Amino acid sequence: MQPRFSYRSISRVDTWLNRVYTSRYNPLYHSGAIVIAMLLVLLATGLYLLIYYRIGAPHASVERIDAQLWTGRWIRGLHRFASDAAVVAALVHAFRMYAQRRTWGPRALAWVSGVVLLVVIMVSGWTGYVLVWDTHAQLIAAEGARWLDALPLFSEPIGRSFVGESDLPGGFFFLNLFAHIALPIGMGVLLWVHIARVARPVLLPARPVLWGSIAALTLLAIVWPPPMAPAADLLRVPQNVPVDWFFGFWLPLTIRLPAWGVWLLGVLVLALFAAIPWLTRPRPQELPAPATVDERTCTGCEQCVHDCPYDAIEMIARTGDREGMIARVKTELCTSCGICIGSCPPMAISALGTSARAQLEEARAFLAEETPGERDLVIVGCSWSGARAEAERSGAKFMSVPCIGAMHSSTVEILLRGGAGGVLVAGCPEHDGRTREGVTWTEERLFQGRAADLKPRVDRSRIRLVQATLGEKVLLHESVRAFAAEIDALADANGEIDVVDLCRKAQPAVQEESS
Amino acid sequence: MSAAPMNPERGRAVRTRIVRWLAPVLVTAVMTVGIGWLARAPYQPPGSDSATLRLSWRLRAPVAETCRPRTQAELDALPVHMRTPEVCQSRSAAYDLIVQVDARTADTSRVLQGGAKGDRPLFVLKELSLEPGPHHVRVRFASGAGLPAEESVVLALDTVLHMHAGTVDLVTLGPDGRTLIVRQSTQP
Ligand code: HEM
Repeated sequence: MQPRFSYRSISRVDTWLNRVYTSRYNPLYHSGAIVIAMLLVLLATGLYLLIYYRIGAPHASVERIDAQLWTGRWIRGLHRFASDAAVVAALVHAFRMYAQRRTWGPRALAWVSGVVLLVVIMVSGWTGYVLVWDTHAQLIAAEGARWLDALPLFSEPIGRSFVGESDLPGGFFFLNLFAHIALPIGMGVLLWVHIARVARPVLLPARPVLWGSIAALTLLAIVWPPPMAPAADLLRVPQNVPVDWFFGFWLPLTIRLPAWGVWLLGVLVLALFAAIPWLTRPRPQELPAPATVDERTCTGCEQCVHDCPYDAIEMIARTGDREGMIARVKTELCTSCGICIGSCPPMAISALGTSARAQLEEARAFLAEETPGERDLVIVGCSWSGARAEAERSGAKFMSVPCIGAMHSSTVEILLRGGAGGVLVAGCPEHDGRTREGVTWTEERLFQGRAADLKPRVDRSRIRLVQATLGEKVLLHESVRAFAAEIDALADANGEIDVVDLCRKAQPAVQEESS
Repeated sequence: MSAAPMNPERGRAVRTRIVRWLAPVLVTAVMTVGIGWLARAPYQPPGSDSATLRLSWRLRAPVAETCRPRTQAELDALPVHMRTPEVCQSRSAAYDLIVQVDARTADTSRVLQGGAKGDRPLFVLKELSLEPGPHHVRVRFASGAGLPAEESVVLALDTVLHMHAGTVDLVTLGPDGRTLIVRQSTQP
């Protein structure tokens, strides 16, 4: 499957931000986890605000909080800015999922629950703003009432509460406060559903991103606290309202539309957003089949169960004449990421129309056709990376795999044994894996003995793993150049025969294993 | 005393380290200020250059009820627990609202009791956008036919309002519930 335009676009931004933050701390890679971090900040700051808020004197009580220079003012600011950051991070996170084609099939549950989460964040924000009962609140409340009055629900329009005939009853603010607290609690349950199909979800961003973002927002709240708008006056049209555009971006549009138009537009946009898993589902002929396990070869080692990023593989007891356990793919949960191809030591798993055995055959055919020499570098990568373009640019040989996580470590060994001077594996950055943990497991398989591990006899100095986005052409190119120079130096040092000879010596052992 | 010249390699390394620290700090600062600005950028809602005449009140209007005893045949046809001795029919009048601004009829409408069965209080909610300045406003709200004369309602207002841009003049029921009054913002 080819990357879409949106992926190329975010990849350009990523390239730039990776240069600034390094790929480990690029905040865009941590967007989902940043939302959770912000929700926790909202919880902590919200508890403080709750102590001082009075439903009987909403605006005056917030003014009192704002007058507490050492505490209330910045806590109120942090509460507001954290909610803004949560909206931004959630939108970035959703866009990344779309761009990486992580939307359809078993991920539809995460997508749809994500849309609901976003709506809940929005509604919860609006109720929060109404609590202040300033001119911003007045705008939001009047608009909300106008929309609700278009529904045949109320015998008397609730908009009548905002005409200035009488003061708003405390019950109105109590209801808002209740919704403002209850909705985030419901969000906990939604979040649980959201990540139910993800194994080992990353719930908090890397520490520097976590504390860095909290520190930045706290500083903003201290240096440039949110303004305190005048109290709502229902007998005046609010002037120069300081709007929070993250929550009120729709105001200039909806205020000019009839209420039914707002509903129509809102429902259409939401339905379109929620339907993306079905709109982006590949056509039947392109739909990758779920992984399958060859029961004759499966040894029941459980490695695929440990590696699957979606908990889509389980061990079941064998039936028939063989005893022990066998892996079974839960097809309804399998996203066909292919990581299990690389995790199976006896090469018993097929996915994405290929298998580790087929990969070894491809590697052999590749060697026969390309005949790489000891000064030649083979770049292994997927079509979502810049590997092919880099191979063309630097004159290296290129071997394609569906995903780096789906590459079996024996493929690297075969390539080296076949005469290649070095193998450079190009994968996506660890915190942004399109297949979540693919590149992480591959690094561990190649260098840290994770099954299915690269055998100790293989010379690690001839292998590199580079994590680069599609746009990180310079990084990839520099890595290829540096590695090529090392390979050259190794060739100079070892003389012509050594590598090929060593590999030939190792041949019988590997042949035995791969059969 | 002369300072020792800095090793150029070291100088470059120091510069690189500073840039490496400074770049994320600067980018974070720009993003944070962006959030701060978008969280408060002012907005001028429409309607702030005109004056608003708002009419809003709620009235539990009198209902004319006519009752008659049930016939024996009707009683027999009903389940035991529903055999009330009388059947009543309530009828509420329709009300006509006429709003005139500077001798021009700005609105006429018929107002009925609220609720699907017409058994809820009636309410009026109208907004008229006017040029700022003085306006002669006349409002008449009267029940039509169908009610006994002693139960009919007539609410009226005839006044000159000095209206200002961005403000609302609210015509509503006075505390006695029988007269229309005008309310304006008390805030400066
Ligand atoms: C609003 C609050 C949200 C929070 C707190 C949140 C958080 C998360 C987290 C922690 C993960 C697991 C990431 C990982 O470990 O790989 C995740 C996955 C996911 N999220 Fe969200 N998310 C939110 C909103 C959304 C929205 C709005 C969408 C899209 C409409 C979305 C779509 C997804 C998808 C499709 C996955 C699964 C990715 C995969 O299976 O590879 N999320 N989310």
